[in-house]
Amino acid sequence: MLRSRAVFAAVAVALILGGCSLHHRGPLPGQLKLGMVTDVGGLGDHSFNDSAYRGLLNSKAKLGAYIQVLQSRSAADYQPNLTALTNLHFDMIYAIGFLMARDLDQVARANPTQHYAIIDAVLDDPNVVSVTFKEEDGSFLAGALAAMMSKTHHISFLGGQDIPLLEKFEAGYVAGAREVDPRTKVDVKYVGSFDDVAAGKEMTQLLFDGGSDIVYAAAGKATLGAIDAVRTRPAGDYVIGVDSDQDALLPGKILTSMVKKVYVAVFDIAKAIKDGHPLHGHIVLGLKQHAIGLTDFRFTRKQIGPARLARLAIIERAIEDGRIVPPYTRAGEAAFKPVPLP
Amino acid sequence: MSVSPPALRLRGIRKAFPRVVAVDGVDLDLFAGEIHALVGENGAGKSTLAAIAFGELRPDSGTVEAHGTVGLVHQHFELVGRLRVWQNVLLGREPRHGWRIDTDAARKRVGDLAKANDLTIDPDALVEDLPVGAQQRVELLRELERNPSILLLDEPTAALAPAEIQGFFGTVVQLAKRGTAVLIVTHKLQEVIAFSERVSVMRHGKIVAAMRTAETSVDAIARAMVGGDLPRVAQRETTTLRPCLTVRGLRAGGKEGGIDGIDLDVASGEIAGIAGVEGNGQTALADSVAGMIPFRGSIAFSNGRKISIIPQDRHVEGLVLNFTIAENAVLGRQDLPGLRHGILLDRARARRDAAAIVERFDVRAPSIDVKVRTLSGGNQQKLLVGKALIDEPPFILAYNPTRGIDVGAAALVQSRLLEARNGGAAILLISFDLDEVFALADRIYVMYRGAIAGRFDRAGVDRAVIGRLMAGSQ
Amino acid sequence: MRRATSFISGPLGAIVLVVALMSVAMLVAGTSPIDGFSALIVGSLGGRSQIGETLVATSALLFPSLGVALAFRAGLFNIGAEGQLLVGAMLAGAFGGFVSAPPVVAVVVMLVLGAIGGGFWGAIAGWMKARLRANEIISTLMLNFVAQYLTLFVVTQWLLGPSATGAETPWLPNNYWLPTLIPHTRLSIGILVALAIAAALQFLFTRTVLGYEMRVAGEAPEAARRNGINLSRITWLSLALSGAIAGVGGATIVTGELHRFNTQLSPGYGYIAIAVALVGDLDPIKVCIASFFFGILEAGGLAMQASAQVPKDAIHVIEGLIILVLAARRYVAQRSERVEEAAASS
Repeated sequence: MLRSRAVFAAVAVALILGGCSLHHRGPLPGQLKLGMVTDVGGLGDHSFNDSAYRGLLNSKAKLGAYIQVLQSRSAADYQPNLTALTNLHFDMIYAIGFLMARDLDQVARANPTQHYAIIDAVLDDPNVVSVTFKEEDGSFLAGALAAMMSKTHHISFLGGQDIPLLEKFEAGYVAGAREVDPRTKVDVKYVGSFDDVAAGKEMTQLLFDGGSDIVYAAAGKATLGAIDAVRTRPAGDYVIGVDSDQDALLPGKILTSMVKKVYVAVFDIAKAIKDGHPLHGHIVLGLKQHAIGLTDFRFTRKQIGPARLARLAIIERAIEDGRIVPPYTRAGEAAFKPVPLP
Repeated sequence: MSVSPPALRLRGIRKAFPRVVAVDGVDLDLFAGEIHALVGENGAGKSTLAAIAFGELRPDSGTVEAHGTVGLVHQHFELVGRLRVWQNVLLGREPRHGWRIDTDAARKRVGDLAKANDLTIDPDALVEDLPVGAQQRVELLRELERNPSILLLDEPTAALAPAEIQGFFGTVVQLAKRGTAVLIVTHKLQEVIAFSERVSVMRHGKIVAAMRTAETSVDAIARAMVGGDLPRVAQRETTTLRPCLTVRGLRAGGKEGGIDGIDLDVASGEIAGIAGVEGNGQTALADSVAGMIPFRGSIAFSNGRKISIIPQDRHVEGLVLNFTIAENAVLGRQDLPGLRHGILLDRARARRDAAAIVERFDVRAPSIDVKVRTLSGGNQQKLLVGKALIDEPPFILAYNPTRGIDVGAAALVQSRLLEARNGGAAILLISFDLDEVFALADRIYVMYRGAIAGRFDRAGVDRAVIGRLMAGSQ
Repeated sequence: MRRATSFISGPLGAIVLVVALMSVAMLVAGTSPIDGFSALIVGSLGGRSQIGETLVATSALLFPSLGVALAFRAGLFNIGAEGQLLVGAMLAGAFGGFVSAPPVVAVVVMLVLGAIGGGFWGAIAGWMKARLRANEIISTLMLNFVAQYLTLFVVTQWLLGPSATGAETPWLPNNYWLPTLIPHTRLSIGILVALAIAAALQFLFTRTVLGYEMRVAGEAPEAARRNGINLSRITWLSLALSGAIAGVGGATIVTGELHRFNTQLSPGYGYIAIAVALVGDLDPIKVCIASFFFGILEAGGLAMQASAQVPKDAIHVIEGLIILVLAARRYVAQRSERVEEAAASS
């Protein structure tokens, strides 16, 4: 009895000392509080969620924000996670990805005084800022580059799931290829999932075996499978990455990445709050806003060569000044006519 | 005898368990060469006292002085069935030859010891193959091997046939003659009268009477145990007999403890008693009649299969220890029209029945809402019997209805069974207690090795013949 | 010695012990226990929305916990509430996502389908036990895995929603949603269904013959067998009912919370339910209280992660600790009971 009491006292003392020595990790008063809920891809997807997180880290570094991320293990986590952050009264809560659209809609309606932002979907709730990207701009460039690079005049598109958002990638890519070389054949396939890495790898192998030498893998986390598949392919075969700059994941084998600078949007929204005129409604970001584009080809610049890079720059300018309007649906792509450029 | 100092001297022994004072200030002297009986009802503290005397339990207060080694033969055998007799007897004390056990020496030692004490036993037999009586001898032999000057026997004859009991006491008397002090803990008063020299009676943890056996009687001892007069047993009335249960060519159970071709009749208005030593097929018979196991042959009830059962093991088969008295009173009766209305259980009726059982069967409890676990064995058994009899069933199967309960409770149970018989019930009584069979049965069947070895009417019954049949001789 | 054990075995002792162990867990995770606990309490009870979240978790836990308690009372260790919940939820989600009906009818049908799905899943284990003598601990546990992969297969094969990612059915039309109980929270009236089931179970155990027979079968199976109780019937019926309750729970998550079926809609409610049922002493009323307690841990745990940066998994460590403390409590209690019995019968 005596001994157990001594142990008890020791534990109590240890707890109190431990409690004092640990620094306080909560937000400070007056600090900008930013919350984020990832989709099922989670942090470490080298893609969408990581890009958003980079925006959050930038806000922390440049705006002194307190940041907090809740990861979702399944779609069932979206609402509890959004609500948990809501209950802590953040200045802005980011819902990363259209997957969360309906869940966010519900939570936003229930909490009309809380501000939210959603990436890649459009909600009409007054307390939600919707951010979408013109993925077709970047995909158009990717398609043009792929068509210039292909030795077999046969390239492929691998999407995650066949949904409207992905149609923008597909349409832009196919049209971009036609802009450069109308004879180039483009295979289109969908994994059926954004997080099935194994399936992504397998389908990429099938596409290469089918005669393509370049695969544009717009498949979220499943893109990592595509990158794994090109590892063992001969020189001249490439994968084009998506969302984040994935070029460094397999230097020299990833031709470029179609970068969707989610972090730009995340940071801009935070900064607008800090500056006192928060953003509202639907924001569309494209090449012109420097929120979409290809990487700087730091591992593949030599293979591409100055001639192709120059031609790509011309196309890029044409999109920026509106001479080329990349299509964002299959119908638009079918109707797209290559624009003659000097 | 009384001039020499006692071999075992207990003074002011007290032992309390969390909810009960088991032994409460006991003084006891045990002298060399005497056989001393310690009697008392269940829960009186006898076994606790024996365990304290042996040194197995430590008393809360009081002193134990023993001159010489003490041996204790337990109520429940503590033998290893898969070992041979000599291995059991010498367990942990085997003679050694270097690092090996010297088996020849060990066998000889056990054989000699058995011979010296007139115990017939084969040292090489496997203990699990031996009949109960022989196992008891192994148990005794194991204690004798230590050459104890004080021998404590805790309910040693509980599982023995009459003939085996005779043999067992023969050995004990021999030991006492050679100077061993013997203390027998028992509740069989016939044995006390027949073999002991002195008797001490315990009640509620205290010694309430100490007598010379020669100067007392079974009645006097029983009164001391109960602390008053025994309840009057109901009279046996004349009844008209109508056939109720007819069993023909019944076979059931396995090789061990099964039954093989039993014919049996029980009429309404009579008690048919099955006499026999435990393990001769009684359980298979009871389970077939109860419909619990598959059987071959026929079991026919003349007026429908309405049977009420007092099962053998009240803790496992008859009662739910974590239920209250009221809840237990429903058990086995939950489908009766009076208790069940559609899907509902009539709780008010259940409580009335429970109260009636408690009253008629003298179940002593603070209320009908206490858990059965808290009741004494006797009160649990009275509840069990009351539940079986309350609906005045036409047929009752009673399996050891008074086993392990105190004298007062046993008398009440027997009395209620007789009343049920007088009221026209047919009762099949299976009991390992021959006295009980004699006291209750109108007709006696003797069971031996799964068959009926003899059938007697109450009038023409000879105790000695039945005792011999039970042991398997003609 | 005796006082020490009774202290640990008492409910207060259990709470103190768990709090102490939780504090250690927080220290290991690098957070001050004071911050951690205040985040837990504020995050679960600090306001209407917080209480709403706590009750959402309570509701989700209460159904399978009641189911588990029912089976345990009948002496059947149903470890399979998780699978029963999933199958029930999937049937509800399939109906709600694809079939048009008047809204009230649709909601009722979804709950009934939940019961049928879960009940069927429980009855399989019941049938295996009654007919094949298969140990229900193993069979119900294994059926969890079968349910997990079966629902995944069925949903991806036939029930996939148009904009679904992962294995999800289409969203239910808004008028198929269970009404909200507390405005501006996610709490639906599903929790009232759970409380009604708790009341029904209490009635079952105390007033009906079936409930009585189940309790006898649970406490003393041999006594049940010898007293005219059909153990096979009790076995499959108890497991079917147990599964049906868990299945209704799955259906209420679909119609009341997520508004579609997702194969990962349960973060292990069916497993946590075992602890809840034991903490609640298998008593329907106490199980309601225990569910609320675990609801606080679930909802507060998330808040704890969001504000004090204690990983939510710490909560699952805590739940494990609670089960351990409880098991120890039961062991101590049983031992002292046995000692007293031995003494009383000597």
